[in-house]
Amino acid sequence: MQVGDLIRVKKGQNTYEGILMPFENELDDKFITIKLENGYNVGFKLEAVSVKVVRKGKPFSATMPKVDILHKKGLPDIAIIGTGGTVASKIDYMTGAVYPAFSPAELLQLVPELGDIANISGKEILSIASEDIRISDWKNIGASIIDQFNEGCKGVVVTHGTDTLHFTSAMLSFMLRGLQNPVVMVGAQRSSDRPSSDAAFNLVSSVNFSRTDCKEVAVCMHSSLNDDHCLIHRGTRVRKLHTSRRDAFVSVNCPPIAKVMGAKNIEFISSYKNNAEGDLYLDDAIEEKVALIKTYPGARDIVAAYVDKGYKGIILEGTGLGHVPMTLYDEICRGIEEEVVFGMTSQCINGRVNMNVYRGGRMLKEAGVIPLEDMLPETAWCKMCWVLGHHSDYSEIKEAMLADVAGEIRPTSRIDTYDIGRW
Amino acid sequence: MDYDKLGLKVGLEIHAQLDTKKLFCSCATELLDDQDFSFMRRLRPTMSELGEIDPAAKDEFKKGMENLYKTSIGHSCLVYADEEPPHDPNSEAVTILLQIASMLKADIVDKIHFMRKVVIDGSNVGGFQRTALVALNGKAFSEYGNVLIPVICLEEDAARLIETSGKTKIWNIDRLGTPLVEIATDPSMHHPRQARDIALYLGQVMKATGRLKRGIGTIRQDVNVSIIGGARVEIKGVQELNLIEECVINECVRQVNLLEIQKELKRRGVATINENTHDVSSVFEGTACKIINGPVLGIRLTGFSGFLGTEVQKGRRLGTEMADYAKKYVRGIFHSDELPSYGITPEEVGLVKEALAVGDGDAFVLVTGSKSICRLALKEVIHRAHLATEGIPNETRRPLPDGNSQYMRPLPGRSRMYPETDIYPVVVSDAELKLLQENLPQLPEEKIKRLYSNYGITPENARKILEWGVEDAFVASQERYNMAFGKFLRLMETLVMLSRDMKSAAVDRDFLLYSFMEAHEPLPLESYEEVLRHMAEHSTGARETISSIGISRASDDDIRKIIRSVIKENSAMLEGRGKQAFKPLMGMAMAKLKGKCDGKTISALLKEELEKEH
Ligand SMILES: [Zn+2]
Repeated sequence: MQVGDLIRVKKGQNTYEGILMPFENELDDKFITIKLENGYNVGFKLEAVSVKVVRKGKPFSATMPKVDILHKKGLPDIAIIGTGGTVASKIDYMTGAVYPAFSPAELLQLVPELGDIANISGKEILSIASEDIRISDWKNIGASIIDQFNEGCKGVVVTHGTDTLHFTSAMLSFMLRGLQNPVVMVGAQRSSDRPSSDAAFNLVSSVNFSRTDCKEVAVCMHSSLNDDHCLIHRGTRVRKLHTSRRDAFVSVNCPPIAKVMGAKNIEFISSYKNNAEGDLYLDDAIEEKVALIKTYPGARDIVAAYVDKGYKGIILEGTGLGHVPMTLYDEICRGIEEEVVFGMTSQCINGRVNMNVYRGGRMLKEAGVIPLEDMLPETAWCKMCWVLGHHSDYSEIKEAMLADVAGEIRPTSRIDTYDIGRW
Repeated sequence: MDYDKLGLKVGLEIHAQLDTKKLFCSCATELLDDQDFSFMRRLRPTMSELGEIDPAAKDEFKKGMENLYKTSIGHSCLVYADEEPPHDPNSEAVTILLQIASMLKADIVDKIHFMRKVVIDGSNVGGFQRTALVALNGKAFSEYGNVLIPVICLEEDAARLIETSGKTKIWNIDRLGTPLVEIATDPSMHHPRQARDIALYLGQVMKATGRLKRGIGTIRQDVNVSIIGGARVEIKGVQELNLIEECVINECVRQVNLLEIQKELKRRGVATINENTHDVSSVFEGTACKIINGPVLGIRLTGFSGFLGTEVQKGRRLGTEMADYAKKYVRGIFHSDELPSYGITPEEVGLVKEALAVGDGDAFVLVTGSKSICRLALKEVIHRAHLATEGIPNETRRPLPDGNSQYMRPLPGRSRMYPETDIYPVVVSDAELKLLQENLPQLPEEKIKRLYSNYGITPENARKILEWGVEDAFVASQERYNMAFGKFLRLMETLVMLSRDMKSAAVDRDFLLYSFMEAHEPLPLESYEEVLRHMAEHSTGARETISSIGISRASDDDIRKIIRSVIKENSAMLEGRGKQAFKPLMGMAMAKLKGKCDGKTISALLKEELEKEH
């Protein structure tokens, strides 16, 4: 008996026929689930039924009708790179399984507007859950992007699961040097197998923005609960601030770059990089032994644990202006003695750290902890990985950490960029 | 009509709202017209593993339809805005479903899986309705035969469409996510009466849980009807139980008549429909017909003479059915079987016939509007004419208040359903099910039996009480208010009559019932209507009403006095007619005592007094 077989289930007086569905998990083998002719799935306790195969099933297959795609003159070539997280997908109505759709034919069928604004090519290079992404994956993604540009693409769109999308966008912002064209990262908060998904609109908007002269890594996601426009966020300045809403991604400490109305117009909101610096290349020298630690009242041992494991850098997510409890003070000092580099960010997310105001801050700063200004903790972690891949001298590291590489750090705080929770 | 000979087959699908919180979040399900929050969505068709996209869904998306969802902050949370995954299924709703399934002796599944049924018209924010099959193979009972209930489902109700303006549909999401019980019978019912009885039975089973919502629109019935040689026609959303029987009868009539037309068309050799539309605007330059102010296009329907005016249901002709199809684009059609009329003259009709080359056995249809709209409307007419040659179209129809129905849309194909992966399936625990089945609410038959054996009324009257849904009030009338059953019956009949009469949902039946029973003692039956009407109109209690309109029961002595005076005044007649004088005397006494006393008492006292005279 195999998944997909037509089976007959006899339960007491009643007999039911249906297609055998996959078991939900290993522990679930107490139940058998069949899809009835009317489309409903129902589960029966295995011990209470007798089961017989009526007809062997055909294996499930996800095939596509072949469609010829015309290359339209006058439209730019845009590459869509898939890394997991299905921004476009097909549903197996039988099992409910969702397959990513990446061939240009599939993309154009699902999101026909794409054909009006670009010649699309698609490629899936990774298929992982967003939370499982690793440093080696970022190198891989970066290399693929370079390949696409070398093949003459005008812009590259990278689809990505949303959980760690802002880590990837920050890391790519540092690794991709000399960008001549936009790299737009895009995801979906509501799965692409539902008609109300934000995926397609986000994808259209990101492809549209990838045609501009912006030379940065950007993130394109819904701006509100409405399907009317997306916001383009700078890759180093964006953070997921909601678990499920489609407007979960927010620019922190700076305005977004632009507003995109799907396939229609683009409205720039703030300045962006439109001048190229040198040639495009991938600078993927990365130090992997870097930790991101959130402190909390009475915290102990959490710094020492990393120091003992030989970590080279630690980004602290302190409280308020950049403080940690005194219980961690000795552990940090020992780390500094052992040449671990510490950077300070704030768990307030919004605002700038300042370690001069209170004694605790001053002590840490004097000990050598680098206050990372208005940098986001996740961005600071990416940057530390990248900087430590290039430098080993403390003062060089400090200088590099505080230098603006991809718009991640600015000396001034805008007066208008904090409007969360206003009533 | 001989329904057996017709091969009538009726199936029912009943949806009833549960009076609980929403199915996948803890928001209330009360309807609320206040709105202070809205969001706009475009639903996009999804693709199957074979790369198929539903053409209707694609079409809707291409048209650029937008949905504006409105709600009130605090009334709806993120779940039904599709901005947060669904929470665990409402366990109360699941329990109610298990109760209903148990009462219908259905086979309850061991593991309930929620599915997504793709619905792309905007009525569900997510683009799908969540639904789960809870039980299979239930049974419903009626005097006309029992019926199998293949499926009992728990599903979500849809949002309410407020209005469509241009390309925007405006919805209120207050109703979205309200748990619905769906009970579908197999299409084996063979008599209209059976359909009505089964619907009633199912309604009572569901109501026995005490957890159904009450009021207009909380129960919706879809009726499927077919006869031999006919087609499956779905009449969607019949809200009143009383209409089900009529609906089925009228649909039978319709199908019989349509088959008759088909037969006759075949006899006349009509097989294909001429699809050439003609511009006949010039005929109507300066016409007296007020409806026409723009281009007029027409088609000839070869061989259709007389059919457009043929009634298929009372007051509804084949022409009406064509107009229903055309209504997607225009307000109506003109056809040859009704012209000249509407200010269109015989001369104009003659010119149209000439222009369209309409012969003796032919008919024609005209529409007015912009030329492109006219062409689209005539295309629908042609389509419907073509269907007439094939017999009965598969349709979803809208019930009309008179028990007839009107075309709504073609019968939809099988809906696309796939597993809802955001919700873990519900395992039905044996222990819980056992406990619940040991404490089931009483079934209708059991209740009827209890009522007639405990209170000495007839089974028919017990059934009536159940149909009215006033078991509790009846028991109170017997145990608390010592009300004679005849009086209770009169009270209920009067209330039913009033609520039909006053057509007002505002008549609070329970209030009227209990307040009246409390004060019923001195009232003669004749005054029930007056008192209850006054109570309903003024929202006043029974005692207050009785004293304000001055109805009181005269004492036996007073009645006797009046009767004596009547006898005295008519002593001459009494002399002459003897016992035959009773009837006229009774009439006179009744007139004098109107509203003060019931006829029975008058008759008894009059008899006594007449005895004394002898
Ligand atoms: Zn809610």
